[in-house]
Amino acid sequence: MKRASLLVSLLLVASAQAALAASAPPPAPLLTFVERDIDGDSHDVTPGAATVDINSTIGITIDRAVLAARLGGASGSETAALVADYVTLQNGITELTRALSQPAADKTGSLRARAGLILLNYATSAPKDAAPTARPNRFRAALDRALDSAAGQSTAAQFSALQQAGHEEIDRLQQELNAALAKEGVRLMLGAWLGASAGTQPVHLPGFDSYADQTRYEVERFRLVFTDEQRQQYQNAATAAKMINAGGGAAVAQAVVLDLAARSFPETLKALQALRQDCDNLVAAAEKAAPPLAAEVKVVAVDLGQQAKWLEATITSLADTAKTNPAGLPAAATAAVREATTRLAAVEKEVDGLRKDLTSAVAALQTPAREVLDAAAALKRAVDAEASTVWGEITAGSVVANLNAATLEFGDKVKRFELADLPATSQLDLELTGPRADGDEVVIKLGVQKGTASPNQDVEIEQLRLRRMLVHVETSAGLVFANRPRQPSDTGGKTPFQAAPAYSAFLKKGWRGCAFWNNVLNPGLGISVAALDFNLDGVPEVGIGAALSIVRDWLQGGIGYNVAARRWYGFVGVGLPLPTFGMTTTSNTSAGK
Amino acid sequence: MEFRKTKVLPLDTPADARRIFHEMVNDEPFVLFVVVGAGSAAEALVSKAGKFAGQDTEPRWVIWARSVEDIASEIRGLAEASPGFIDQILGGKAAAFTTSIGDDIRDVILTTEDADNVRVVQAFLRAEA
Repeated sequence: MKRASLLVSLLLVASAQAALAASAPPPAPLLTFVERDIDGDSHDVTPGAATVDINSTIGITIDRAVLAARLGGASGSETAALVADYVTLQNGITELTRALSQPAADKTGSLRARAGLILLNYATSAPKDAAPTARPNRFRAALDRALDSAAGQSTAAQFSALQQAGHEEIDRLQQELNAALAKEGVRLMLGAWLGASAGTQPVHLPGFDSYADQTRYEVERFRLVFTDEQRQQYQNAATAAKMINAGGGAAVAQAVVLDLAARSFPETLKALQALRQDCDNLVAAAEKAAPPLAAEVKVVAVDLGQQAKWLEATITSLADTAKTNPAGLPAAATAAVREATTRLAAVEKEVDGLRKDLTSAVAALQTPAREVLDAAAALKRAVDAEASTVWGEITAGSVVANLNAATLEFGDKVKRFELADLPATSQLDLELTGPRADGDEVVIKLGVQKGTASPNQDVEIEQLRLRRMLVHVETSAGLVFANRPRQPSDTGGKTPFQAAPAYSAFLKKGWRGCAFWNNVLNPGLGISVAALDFNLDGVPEVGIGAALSIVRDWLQGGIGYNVAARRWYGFVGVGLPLPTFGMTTTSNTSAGK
Repeated sequence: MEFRKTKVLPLDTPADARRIFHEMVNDEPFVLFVVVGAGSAAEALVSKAGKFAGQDTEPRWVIWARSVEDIASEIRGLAEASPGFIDQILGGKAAAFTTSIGDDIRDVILTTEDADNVRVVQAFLRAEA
């Protein structure tokens, strides 16, 4: 199933990130891969986000020096020291071999000198009191004998002697390392899995397991067959075209967008609905509490106003009494104070009642308010998770983009090897892994187990994206918008466009090393056959066009020829997944308006 | 004892010894293995170094400076890849040292070291690296 929510800006950022990631220097690979495609061409597979053709055979080579270095970190100290010596010598030999094979690049001899020093520095690294049998001393003695044989000869002969002695010592160290790792119970496994939309299954790696090969299955390159899903897509497009031509473009667009959202963000939509419900609950709770409270506040406010007016009038009255009848002031004041005390007690009671009612109202709102906050948090989580999923699908162009290789377990049929017995190479014939689809993934893992009771550890994981890299045909179905000639029933001055369902077939080719090309741009060149109706008589007319497609056929465009109407037309098209429209379709008599 | 590609500095004319050393170090594009001191051990080392000096067309050469005092002033004028090399040479602790084509001292073999084939070739390579 293709998921579809896509923003151009996201794509640009994704491609920029991929470019940045690609610029980082790769670590020394433990596993190297060479792809041999069905045309017989070989391609080095770049570690990391590698892409291979879906029908190729993958040659796998294990670098023992790198493996030894990795195992050293997981072993006991004595074995780790042995591994360190092994890695040093292997590095020296590798560098020396490289320098000696490029004399033109090493005219001063400094490269071979630096490489040779790796060996000589190791040979002279033992402490003074070390036994003659210490590994560096043993190598020094062997090296001394080798140099004796080159004495009086050219420096090239001396380097050759160094190289020979280094190889012999590495062989000795390899045997010692094998024995040490076997003693520690270290076992190695190499496994492969095919991750497809239907699930993840282990696949056979010759020499490394006893899984059976699947029936040979080649993903055909030039097969012009439309799937049931594409035929359904065509039917949906036909219905959508009728709706659009009848003026229902907005409804179609809305249905497409909702369908896309439902496909891409199902949990987000659920969370959004829950949040909306919780907000409604909160509003209802507030409305339930608010009217009585508002009335109560109003009563208290009015009452307070009346008391304030009485107090003002009383004070004025007392002032007049003081001027006109000073002798009567004490009695008037006493009466006023008594009355004020009574009034204030009533006011205090009213305000206290209002306070209590407000407190209980806030308590009643706490639960729905908490539910709203929880729903908002759930919405954020859903958006984050599904946006990440969609992002992965966009950048990887596959529904198995999130295959978690670390969780894949080596089955009982995967053989456990001691280092000495570990095969150095294997061939993974993808055609023997069973049915596959563009965007599926193969995971190859090298694991180590130390003792039978300890869990397996992943030493190296490589994930290969399967693409149809060689020239091939891809089919699709969708909507096209063709500019048709004006008809007497047309109104307005605009060029009429007509929506129509169309089948398309595109020639495509992958680009190794360019994820943006394979996963996002995915261009194609081919033909489009549309069911047009230029004369609006309800009888389909066949239009055949040359088309260019991009973004996995989501966007198409080209020039076509209406065979029945004998007219050329231009068109653009969309290959987005269309929902099944449930409404009754209308006739095509007002198309293009 | 066979000496290959070796210049033995004269003992009786220090000035000539200095001149020859100066020319070998400064005027020629050589990688030099300079054995210092007299005696059979030094002589054996000169012979051994000569065996690893390569063919005539290659830049490795050996100098035997039986009297290091004669060339002390020249040695003091050289750059040293590691501080203390010159002091070791002039302090009598060195059996030999090597210089690069760029005329800096790259390695010193101490008198306490085992100057076997490996150590001699290592000194040459340090001068070439």
